[in-house]
Amino acid sequence: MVCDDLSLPLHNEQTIPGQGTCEKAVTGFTLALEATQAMPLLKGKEITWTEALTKAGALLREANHPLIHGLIGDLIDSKAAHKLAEHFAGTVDHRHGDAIARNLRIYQQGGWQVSSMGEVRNRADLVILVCDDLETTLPRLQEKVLHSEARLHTSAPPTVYTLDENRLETLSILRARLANKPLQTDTSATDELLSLINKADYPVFMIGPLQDKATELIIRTCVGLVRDMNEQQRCALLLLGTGEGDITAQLSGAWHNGFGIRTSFTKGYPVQDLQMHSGDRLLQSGESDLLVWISTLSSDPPPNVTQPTIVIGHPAMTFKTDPPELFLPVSIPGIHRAGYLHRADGLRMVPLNALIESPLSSSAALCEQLIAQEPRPC
Amino acid sequence: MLTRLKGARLYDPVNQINGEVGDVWIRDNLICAAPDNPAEADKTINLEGKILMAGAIDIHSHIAGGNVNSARVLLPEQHLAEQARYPQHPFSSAKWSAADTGYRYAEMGFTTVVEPAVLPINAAQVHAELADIPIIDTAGLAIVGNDDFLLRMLRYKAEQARINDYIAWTLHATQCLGVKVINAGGATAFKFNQRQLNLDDEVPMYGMSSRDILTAVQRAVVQLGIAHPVHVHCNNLGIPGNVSTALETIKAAEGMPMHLAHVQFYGYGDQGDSGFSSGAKALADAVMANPNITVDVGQVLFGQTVTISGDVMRQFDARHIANPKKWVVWEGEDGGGGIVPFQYRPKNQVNALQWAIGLELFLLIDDPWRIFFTTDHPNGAPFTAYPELFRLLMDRDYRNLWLDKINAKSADISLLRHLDREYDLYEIAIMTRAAPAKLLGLSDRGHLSVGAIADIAVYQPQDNKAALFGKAELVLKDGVTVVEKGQVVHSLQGKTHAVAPGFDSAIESAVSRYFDRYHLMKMDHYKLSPQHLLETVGSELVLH
Ligand SMILES: [Zn+2]
Repeated sequence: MVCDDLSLPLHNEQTIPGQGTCEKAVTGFTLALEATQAMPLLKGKEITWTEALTKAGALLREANHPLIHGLIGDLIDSKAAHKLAEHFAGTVDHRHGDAIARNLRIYQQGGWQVSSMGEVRNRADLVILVCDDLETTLPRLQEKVLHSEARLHTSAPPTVYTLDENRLETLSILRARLANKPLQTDTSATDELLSLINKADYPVFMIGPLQDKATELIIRTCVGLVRDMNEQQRCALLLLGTGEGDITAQLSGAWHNGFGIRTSFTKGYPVQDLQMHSGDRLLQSGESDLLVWISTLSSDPPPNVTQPTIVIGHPAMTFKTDPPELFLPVSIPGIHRAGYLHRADGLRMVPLNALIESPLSSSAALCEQLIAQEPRPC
Repeated sequence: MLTRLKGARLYDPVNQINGEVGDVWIRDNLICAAPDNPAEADKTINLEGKILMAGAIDIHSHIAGGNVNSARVLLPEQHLAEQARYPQHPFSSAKWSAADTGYRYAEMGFTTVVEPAVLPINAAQVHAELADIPIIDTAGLAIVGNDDFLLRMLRYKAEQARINDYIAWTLHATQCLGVKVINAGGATAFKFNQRQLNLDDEVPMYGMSSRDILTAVQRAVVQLGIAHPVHVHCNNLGIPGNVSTALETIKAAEGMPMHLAHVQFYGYGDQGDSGFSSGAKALADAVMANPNITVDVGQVLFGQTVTISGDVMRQFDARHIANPKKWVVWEGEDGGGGIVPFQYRPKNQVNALQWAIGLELFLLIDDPWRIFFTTDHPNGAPFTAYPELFRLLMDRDYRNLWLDKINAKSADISLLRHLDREYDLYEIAIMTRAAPAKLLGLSDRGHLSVGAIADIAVYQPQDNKAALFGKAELVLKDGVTVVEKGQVVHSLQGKTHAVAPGFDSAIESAVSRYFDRYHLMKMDHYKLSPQHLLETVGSELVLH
């Protein structure tokens, strides 16, 4: 989650003490300040920027099907990625493409009825949590959204009900009971939740990161429940992204190529295919012959693949196994340069400001240079 | 660089030029006076026999923002790509993308387009999208009227001057050109499970009516001296009999400037055995009788489209008519919205009558300075269908051909067969150039006066007006040739326009405290910074 009360997502506790600790933020910030790699690396050896750009341009031009993947970055990085994919006839995906694609499938089949983080904070009187451990996935959510006492029309925080691992069953039974459908099973385990829902004015199903094998079905059930319930009362979903720029990658992709991630330009025009254009699938099958991994918000190395890899990435990135063909360190949004990143519900773009000067180029400037090497056809 | 556009028939209502043959001279990005010696021209473009107007301006078209973008994602099947239209320009193969929006408007000679629904919390994304739309200039209208801060001010009977400060601050925070009120209080009432809100219904929890909110905002706009009048999306959109709501809203304006958006969707009576009839005559009469009122039509044209609106209450109500069967309703801080795909069919009685009502309004409101050319893109039809609408307005025989094809009952009860009026080129130039520039307060465009920006559209005269306006012969944006023979030949970065009325800084302290209490962010991070926008998304703001 982008900690939205602060100027950037990575450093908050450094400047504003006493608001609780966001582990993710501290780690990100410390790494960013320690970042030292200023020169590009060819197979782990420093080269000049001119050499690096020539090499990267050649790799992109010669590739039959470059995959632009990762996209762990902000709006500027995402736009650069989508432009690169279009120009070099490649395909674009995000590290969390599986989760994004799963939600897109549900959305594109029937739509949904959703709320925002701010609305839940200010209005929800019952929050039904559908996610893995909040402390690790969305560390500041409790404090910022669930525990607030200054709310628009009441001072009472919402009742929070966390669904256990029997989520799917609970939700299915709940849906049937709310629709007054007779059930053969023992439904007493859902009595409490049902009565909470019946008493609530604005119950919200908050869906966060979820490792459950049945995640797609769980979300579909929530979508259906919310749709049914709104016929009579108010109710909504709050779908939260996994983070790492997933929402920004999808939304900015949509206004650039019409669709978002998993969109391929190999035919010269955009085609989205949520299964076939999975980055991991394209790498495993060998259909993509070049990986361009963009990651400015995370210093995690790219996946280890057989294809030559260009990393446009966080300057503190280290490579445990073989170094990539090319590593192009770039500026970090919210540390070295300004940017924007969507909040976890997608409604708001949070501004990121530069904190310290850096000689590093942005991913956008780098990609523009690569694109300029090969003029478009007339 | 001095360019001579030579010998075209000029249509420039601001200067009362109606088809006279003449030259237009351009120095760099502006229209300039003819030099003493025509030989000074660096470049002469011979336009003899062609029609020349200022670039067209669209005052209400949903081209950017979270709601539009979510509609794109909801309906991939509606914009599948087949080929690159302009291989030399990025993303030209991506239909319904930001790039495509700019290219397709430019091809028709449009050079300025207003996105009329900027929810403040989503404003940064709107500006990012606008900045990615090539060629055309843009602007946004900030949505107010469901914002808790404003409603609290009204509940506690704040002075009008403080409300003015808040409205001015909102424009400052969102970098918009004007304000829009969408079903004032409606999104708020929906949050309390209310499913309809009339003009005089009370908004739950706040103790004031929709009318009270609208009036306060209208006064603020007038008193702040904002050029564009309050842009109103009335209550009860799409409901049979809602013409009475539009008439009451016109009365509520009390003689002060007010713009009613997409009035076709409010031109509905409830007469006849189906309980759905045309209210166009009554509405047109009211508009003609109230010179403070301007309207745009939101014309329906037949085919598949998608409705996108910040009127979350009405969009929720429309979920049952979704075609294909999928819909989205979302709520956020101070508003919400909905996306409902829809197909207008000529044989459907209601759709056919909607089509006719829009045209009746165009033809009955006999003042092209006060009625504006829109389809409420994409709600009535996508803007790419504009050529068809030009033809319907300019060609009575063509209209009559359609009347034989649509639902017979609707054709029978419509006044359309009795309306002979055909728009001429001068009226089109008023409605799509001179009047919108005036309505938006963009005095540097919409005309061919010396000093105006050189946004120019040139057309080939022909009987088929759809062909005439569908592909401009030549389009200049800021003096640069961007379209030739209906094809984009050059792309450039457009600018985004906004206003910056002054306000008492005390309001910032109040808003800031409010943000600390109720929002997930500090006010300082909510306000857009022009410098940050320029650095990050490349948007070039022009303040008026
Ligand atoms: Zn509209």
